[in-house]
Order: sequence, then structure tokens, then C-alpha cells
Amino acid sequence: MSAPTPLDQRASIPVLRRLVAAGAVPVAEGAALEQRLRRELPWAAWFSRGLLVLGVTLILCGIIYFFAHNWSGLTDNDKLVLAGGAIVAALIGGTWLGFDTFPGKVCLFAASFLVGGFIGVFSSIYQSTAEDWTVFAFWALLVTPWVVLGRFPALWIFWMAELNVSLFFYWQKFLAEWDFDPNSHPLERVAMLSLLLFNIVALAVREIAVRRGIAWVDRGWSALALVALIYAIATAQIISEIVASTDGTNSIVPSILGLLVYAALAGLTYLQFARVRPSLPALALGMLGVCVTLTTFLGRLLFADVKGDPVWQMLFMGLLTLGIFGAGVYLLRAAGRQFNSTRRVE
Amino acid sequence: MTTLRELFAGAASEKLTPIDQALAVDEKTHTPWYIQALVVAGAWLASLFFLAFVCLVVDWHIFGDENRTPIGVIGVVLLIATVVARHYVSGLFLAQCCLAFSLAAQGMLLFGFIPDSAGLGTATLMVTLLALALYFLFPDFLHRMVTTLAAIQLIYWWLSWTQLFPPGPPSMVLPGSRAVLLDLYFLLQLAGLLWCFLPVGRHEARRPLGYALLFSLVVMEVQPVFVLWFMDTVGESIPAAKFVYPWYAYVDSVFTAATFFFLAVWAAGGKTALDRYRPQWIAFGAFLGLFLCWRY
Repeated sequence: MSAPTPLDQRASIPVLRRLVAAGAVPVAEGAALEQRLRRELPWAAWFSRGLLVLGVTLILCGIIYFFAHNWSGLTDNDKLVLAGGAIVAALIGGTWLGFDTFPGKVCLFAASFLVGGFIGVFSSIYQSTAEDWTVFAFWALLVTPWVVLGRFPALWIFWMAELNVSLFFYWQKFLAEWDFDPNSHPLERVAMLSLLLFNIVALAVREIAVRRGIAWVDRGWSALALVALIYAIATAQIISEIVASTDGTNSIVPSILGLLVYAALAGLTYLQFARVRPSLPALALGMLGVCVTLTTFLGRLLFADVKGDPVWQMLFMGLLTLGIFGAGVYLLRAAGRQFNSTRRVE
Repeated sequence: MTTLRELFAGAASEKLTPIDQALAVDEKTHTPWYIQALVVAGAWLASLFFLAFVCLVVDWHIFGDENRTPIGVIGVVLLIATVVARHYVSGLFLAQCCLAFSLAAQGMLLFGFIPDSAGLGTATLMVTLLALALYFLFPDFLHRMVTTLAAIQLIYWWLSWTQLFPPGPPSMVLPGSRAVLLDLYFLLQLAGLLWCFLPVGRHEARRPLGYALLFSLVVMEVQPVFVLWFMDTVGESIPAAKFVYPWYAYVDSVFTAATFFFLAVWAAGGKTALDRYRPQWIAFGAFLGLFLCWRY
């Protein structure tokens, strides 16, 4: 089989317009091709899916609002039957449409969402000492079979979000307040680390599944969502470490250790998304985190012992920011060129 | 999925070799969106630091007081410099720096020259005049859209809250004359939207205004859903502001959201996407007519 050339890429309007701008395609021909391309776009499918998602979202919002608005006017039995009935209706709809179809998957998603509503109604009627984290964990546990059966990346992300919230609430019960100051509340560090590890494991599982050829997992955005979440957690924590440990009163050791952990995370990202399974968007997300972290660290050092207005520090920080982000863009472009040349050789 | 090879195979001039070469050049020179995002993040962050530097130098070191007027003066100077610079710079990074500087300069200008005692009307007037002037002076899509959207929304809020009419008892049911005024404003925006997207030919300069109107209309029409939710949650604690909203208002918002979803698809697709010169035109007119009937 011959190696793919640039002509084998998906035809898109932006590429076509760039070719017209470069003079490779005459303007009139470009306009005709654009029209043809637009005609061939799956508008009906896109429109239908968009309206389906919008409709389901509005119905779910409507159900929640219905309960909130009519709470005092409904008997306990009404509440339970209506909340449970909505789940059953969504499940029947999904079964009828088939869980392999998009509408069926959306119904399954709605059913999973409504389970949370049912738990909320149930726990309001039968007041118990259940804690927030157990509610979310129980919710995730109840919908696990549907998540496995559904093979729907959006449902997996939703399930992951429930587990993340559950883990967050679990740690929060030990913390009087969550103020992103690891010196006053060292347990925050453990909590964030556990959240980080949990999401890294999830991403690793996803990547292994993709390597083993499980096709439905292989949606680019699901990996990007996880990478974004991982870097959001790691960057928030490292920024709080840097701010807390370089003000002259606290040790700088946690900050340095945190930077080492962050560097290891960046290294793993590079290995996975530059060597094993190249993905420039995932690398770009990692690079954004690294740039923000470096800027914060250097900024904190620069502003640490300033007396009076930090006038020149502001100027240096501007220049440093330009340098850091410029280097990041340069490295990403280099990685992109490397990916392209590797693709050609293959 | 149509590939470029398939697309060009049926083209009148099958210049496959030069297109192949152009694509190879494009692949090397084109910046993907995620790299653009990194460039934009860097530009905005660096701009904020430079802006802070300028403020500190000029305000505290030259004027040496905490008067708000110097901030406004810096804003005016910075805005003029940015507008001039924008005509000479190219490239994403510098364009984003100009955008950041311009928005910050407008904020400084408003902060510096509008006293706390001034009403919403003064702020609305200044923002509108600025948006109008900068629409012609600052040739940037995002800048035009953001400033226009701010002006359109401020006018809406001014129309909603200012004492244009004799004050009545606090109630969610708007006085009739104000409701009519808001509806007229809604129709004016709708007309503007059609003026931006309907005419044949490419009217690039109108597109930022068109998208600003689209966002504004969506915000204007969908917000009662959130206001209702908010007021039903905390409304009990504010008896004077207890909302009395007719039942059809719920459906109205959903219907409006669907209308603008359709409109967004239609607008994003451009002139040929839904082949709108043929039956879709009628469908669109019918949809709009139905919506207006429902509303009134």
C-alpha cells in the first residue's frame, strides 16, 4: 500500500480556502468546489443529532425544574413514581431505539443522569446520614452496567466526572475549608494527588484499550478531555504549592518536589503522545500547563522580595512570558514537523 | 468522508501536481488551532504584564496619586496607539496583543471617566459610541464582535431597568409600554441579523455584527429560564421581587432557543449550505412567522 499524501486528507472548507488564497486553485473553481463540498456535508445527520441533544438536555432540565418548582405540591409517592418513571421511560426508549444507535445511546445517557435525580428525591424523602461522597459514588455504581453496555464515550466521561466529584467530596469531609493553601491544610495535597492519580489511571486504561483495538474508545476528544482534566488538577496544585512555599516563611521543598512530579507528568505525556501514539493536540494541552507553571514559578521568584510597586518585575514578567510561550510554540511546531516526516516515511 | 483527491478529481482543471505541492507548503506553514490557542494564551498573559507595567509607571510614578482620571488618560493614549498599531501588525500573536490592549484600554477609559455617581445610561452611551467608532477603526473580527455585543447588551439592560416610565409597584410583570419597547428592540436586532446575513455576496464587515446580534438575541431570550430558576430558589427571601410569570414563558424560551439554534446552523453554513434560495427560504419564513405569532 502506498504512503498517504496530503491529497488523501479529509477535504475541508478551510483547507480549500487556503489553497485558493495561495493561488493553487482559481477563485471561481474554489467557489464551485466549496459549494460541492458543502452540498456533500452530512447536514441532515448533524442537524438531527444537534436537535436530539438539545431536546434531551432541555427535557432533563425541565424534569429537574419540575421537581424543584412543584416539590411542596407533590406527595412522596408522586415524587418517587415520577422520578423512577422517567428512568424507566428513558430505558424503554433506549431499548426500543437500540443501544448501538446514537439516539439509543443518548437515551441511556439520560437514564444515567436521571438516576441522580432519583437518588436526590429518595434521599430527600427518607432523610439519612449519608454523606455527599457516598451519594455520588452510589450513583456511579448504579449506572456502571449501563456505562459498560452503552460503549458511549460521553457516558464514560460523565461516569468519570461522578467519580471525581465523589472523590473530591470524600476528601472535603476531612477539610474544614478548601483554600488551596497546602501549608495550612496539608491534606489538600493528598486529595489533589489522589484525584490526579485516579485520572491518570483512567487515561492509561483508555490508551491501553485503544492499543488493543477497542474501536469505540478511540475518540480523540475523550483522550483530550482526560488530558485537560489531569493538567487542570496538576497545574492548580503546583500553582498553590509555588505560591505557598516561596513567600519566605514556608519551605521551598514541597514546591521543588511538586515541580519534579509535574516534570515527570510532562515526560509521560511526551512519551505517550509524541512517541507511542502521536497526538499534537494532547501535547499542546500539556505544553500549555507547563508554560503556565513555569511562568508562575519564575514570577513568584521575581516578585518574592519586592518592596514597593513591582514596576520592573512586571516588564520582566512580560518578556519572560513571551519567551516561555514562544519556546512552547517552537517545540510544538518541531514536534508537528517530526510527526509529518514520520508519516511520510511510513 | 470526501478526501481532497476525490474532490479535485471531478474539478474542471485537475492540477493535481501543483495542488499537491501547495498542500505540502500549507502543511508546513499553517498553524493548527491548538498551537494558535497557545499563542493566544501567551499573548494575553504577556499583554497583561506589560499593561500592569505601563499603569504602574505612568499612574503611580508620574501622577503619583490615586485619582481615577489618570487611568482614563492612559486608556485613551493606549487605545489610540493600539488602533494605529493594529493597522501595521500582522500575525496571530501581535493581533491578539492588540486585542488585549484595546479591550483593557477601553476598560481603563470607562473606569477613568465615568464616575460612580453616573447612571447606566452614561456607561451605555460611552460603550456604544466606542463600539461604533472602533467597528470602523479596528479591523478585527473578535474585537468588533465583543465590543458590539457589549453595547447591544448594555442597551438592552438600560431599556430594561432605566426609569423611562413612571415607577410602579415592583413586579416581574413588566409595564406594558416597557414590554413593547423591549419587543421592538428584539425585532430591531432580528432585522439587523437578517441584514448581516441575507444579502447576496460576501459582506465580511457585517459578520461580526451579525454574530454579536445572534449571541445577544440568544442571551436575551434564553435568560428568563435562568432568572426563573434563580428567583424560584431565592425568591422567597425577596417578597417584593416575587416573579409572576405566565406559564407559556417557559415554552417561549425553549422555542426561542430552538429558533436560534436553527438560525445559527443556517448562518454558519453561509449562502449555499442549506441552499436557502429555494424551499428552505419558505421554511425559514414560516418558522419565523410561527415564532412571532407565538410571541405576540
